[in-house]
Amino acid sequence: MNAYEILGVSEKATEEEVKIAYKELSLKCRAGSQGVSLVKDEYNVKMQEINQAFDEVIQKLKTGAMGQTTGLGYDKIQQLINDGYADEALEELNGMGVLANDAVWNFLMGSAYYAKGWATQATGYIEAACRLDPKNKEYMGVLNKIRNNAQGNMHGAPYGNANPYRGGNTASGCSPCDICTAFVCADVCCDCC
Amino acid sequence: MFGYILPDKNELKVKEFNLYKAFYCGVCKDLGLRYGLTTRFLLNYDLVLLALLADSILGVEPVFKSEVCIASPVKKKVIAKETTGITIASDCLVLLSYHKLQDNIHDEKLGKKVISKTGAMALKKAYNKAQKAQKELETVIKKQMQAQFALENENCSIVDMAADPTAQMVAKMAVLCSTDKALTPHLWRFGIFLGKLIYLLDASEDYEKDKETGSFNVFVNMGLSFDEMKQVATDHCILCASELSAAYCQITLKENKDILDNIVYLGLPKVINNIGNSIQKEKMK
Repeated sequence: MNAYEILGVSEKATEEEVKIAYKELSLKCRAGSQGVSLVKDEYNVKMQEINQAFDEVIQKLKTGAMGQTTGLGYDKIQQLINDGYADEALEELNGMGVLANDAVWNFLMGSAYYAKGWATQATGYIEAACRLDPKNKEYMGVLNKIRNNAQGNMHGAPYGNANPYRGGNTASGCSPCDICTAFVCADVCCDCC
Repeated sequence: MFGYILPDKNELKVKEFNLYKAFYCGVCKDLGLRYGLTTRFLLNYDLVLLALLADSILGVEPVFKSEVCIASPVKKKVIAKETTGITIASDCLVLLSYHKLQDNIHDEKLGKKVISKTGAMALKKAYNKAQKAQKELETVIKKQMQAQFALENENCSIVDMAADPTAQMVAKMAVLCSTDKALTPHLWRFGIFLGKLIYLLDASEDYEKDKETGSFNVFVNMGLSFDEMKQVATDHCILCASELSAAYCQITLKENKDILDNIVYLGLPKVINNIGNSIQKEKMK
């Protein structure tokens, strides 16, 4: 039985149809396991089969669609990353080779690595994306976020020690920019200058 | 897991410290009861975090009892009664230890090989039981152990890649802490970075030993000197800790929050600040 037969869809089925078929099957399978017919182990085996088939079909749909569109399929890859398939997205991106070394490609590489938890690896790519497209606010935002973390900014710290590391660089330094901001704030508060 | 992740004792309240100790003893007792005496010697502090976290998410109020144990046969100790978190922690510990020993059989020298082999044999029965209790985790550990083996053979020199198998295993364990699907992504990310931290702390501590013996060590492979290694490891760890804290604040904690906060916001920075100063492991006594 191939993946399409397991899911009971035709080879021309759209992503939506495949997802619906998958949901129905898994529900049916779960319902069966609660009755007498399917014992737990059998249920697990069956479920694994369905999961594998689903992954395979979705993978085919995604890569297949990639080849058809004229663009490089960045949307699909973004979707893969959003859906939690960082490894698959990386594979796609690496498959593009020299064809694509633009800002979007670098950004997606960075995003995929970041989603995978490879934060250091991600930084290099996001930096490259920012270099190639310096005006893009989204790229800059992500880069700043990672840089902040790299400097030891702990999120939600309850003790007021947002940067608990030796030689942490939060306390020192007052740039012209800070002075200017201070003036603006003072101005807003009390109209004093 | 190697026992790097623990609270900053000086900053704990006495009641928190006692609770932590009770959990430690609780996991130990549970190991003894369900998996036999030998497994009790494997316990380390990282797993106590797992037990605390799982109970905290589930909102299980700890119940204490006063008992004697083999480490203290006369004086009674306060021990946390078996809870879901404690059960998960001991299952994980048995599986991890067994695979660690199996791994050692491959790459250690003859003397240690024999020790590892004996250890693995002694653990076999406990392992079979734990394997049945945590099937999914067992699959993940098995797969990641192979991945680790493969990348060590390729002499990997990318930190993120080298740390990935450990990170994946810890992530799976963290995910086990809650059945709530909405929490899964946060727990996963928490685990990924926790695992990475553990791996990096371990690799930085073993740097000199591995350099001498020629065992695999990602920092040695990168061709770093000791001081460079210290810097690189610290930078990586700081980033991991921040990412970990970002995931941690998304998790709703119902119990033991103070201890967990201490571990994440004080304990972790403390070990990270100590990278390169060989006396890493502190005793919580």
